[in-house]
Amino acid sequence: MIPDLTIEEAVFLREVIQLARPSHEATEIEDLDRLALSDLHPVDIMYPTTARRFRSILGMKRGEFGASPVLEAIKTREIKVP
Amino acid sequence: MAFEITVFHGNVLDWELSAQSADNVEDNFISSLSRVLSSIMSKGPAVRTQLYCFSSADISAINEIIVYKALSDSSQDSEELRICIGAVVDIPLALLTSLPPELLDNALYRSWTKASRHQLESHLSDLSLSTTGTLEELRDRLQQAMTDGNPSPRRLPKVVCLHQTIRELLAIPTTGYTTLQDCANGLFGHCLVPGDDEIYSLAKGNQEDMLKIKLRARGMTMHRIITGLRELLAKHCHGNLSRLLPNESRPLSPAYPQLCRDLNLRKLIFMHEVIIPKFYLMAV
Repeated sequence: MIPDLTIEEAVFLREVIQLARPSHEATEIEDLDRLALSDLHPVDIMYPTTARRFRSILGMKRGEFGASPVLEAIKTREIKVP
Repeated sequence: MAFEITVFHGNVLDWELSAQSADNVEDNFISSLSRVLSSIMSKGPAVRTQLYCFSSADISAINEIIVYKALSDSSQDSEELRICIGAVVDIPLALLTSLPPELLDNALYRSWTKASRHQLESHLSDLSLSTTGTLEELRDRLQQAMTDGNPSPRRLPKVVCLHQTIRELLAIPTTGYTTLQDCANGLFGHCLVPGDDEIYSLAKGNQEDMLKIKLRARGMTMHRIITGLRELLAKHCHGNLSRLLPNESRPLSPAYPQLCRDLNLRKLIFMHEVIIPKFYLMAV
C-alpha cells in the first residue's frame, strides 16, 4: 500500500525484488523492507542505477541502508518524514 | 466555475483582502487577485509572500485564465493583468531580462573558464561595458552584469503546489490522495472538507451564500494543511526547519513582461526588448 505509486514504478519494485531473490513466504512489503534494511548491497554493486531509483521511490537517501520512511509509515501507520 | 482567494498574515485571516466569487469568474478573479497583490506590494519590501494552490490543475487553470485574458483583452497594457502575470505566471527567463538570449543558456554562461578573450570582449561590448582588463576581470565583469538586476536562472516556481510538495516531504500511510479532502484526512484524520462535487452543485444551483461558506472552508483547510505540515516537519527536525525547508518566501516583486500592442501578434508570443548585437544591424 505505497501511496502515489505509478504502475511502472510498481512493476520496477517487483523486478528489484526478483533481482534480490525474494522470500517465498514473505509479502512484497516485507521483501522491500528486507531489501531496504540490508539486502540491497548486491543490487548496489551490480545495478547501481537500479539501486538509486529504488531508494528514490522509497524515500531513502543516496547510498543509504536502513529503514525506508515510506515503508515505516506503512508498517507503523504513522506519518514519517523522509 | 468559482474561485476563492484566502489571505493570511501570519496565522490571521485577512477578511478584507480575501475574495471569492462564482459570477463572471475570469474578470472577478483577475481584479481580485490584482487588488490583493497591489495591497501586499504597497506594504513595502519587508512583507514576504508565498502563493499556494492545492494541485497542479489549479495552477494551470489560473495561468490559463490570466494568459487567455491577456491575449483577448483589447485594452492595451491593463495594469491588473500585468500585475497578475508578473506575480503568478512563471515566465521564461528570456522574457524577463534585457540580456541577449544567447547569453542565458549556452556554454559561455555555464563554463566561464572555457570562454575565450574574444568571446568575452564581444559580449561585454554588446552590453556597452568596458572590454579592458585581464581575462579574469572580463569574466567577473560579465558574470556581474548577468546577475545584477536579472532574475536568477535557478528560480523557484511562483505558486507552490501543495499536493506535490506534501508527497515530496512526507510519507503518509494511506493509498495516496488526489483531492483536498483525502489529503486533510491523511494528515489530520477524519475531516469534513467540501468536495469538488459539492462546490459544483452549489455553484450550479446558484446557492451563493452556502457556496461562499464552502469555498472559505476549503481555503481555511489549505491553511491548516500548510501550518500542520510545518509543525510536523519542525517536530521532526527539532525546530531546525531550514534543513528540510531551505527556501524562504520573498517580497512580492513581480517581473513585468511587455505585451505587444498589436492584439494579433500578442497571441503569437510575449515579446521583450533585447539588445541586438551590432553585426545583426549591419546585415540589415
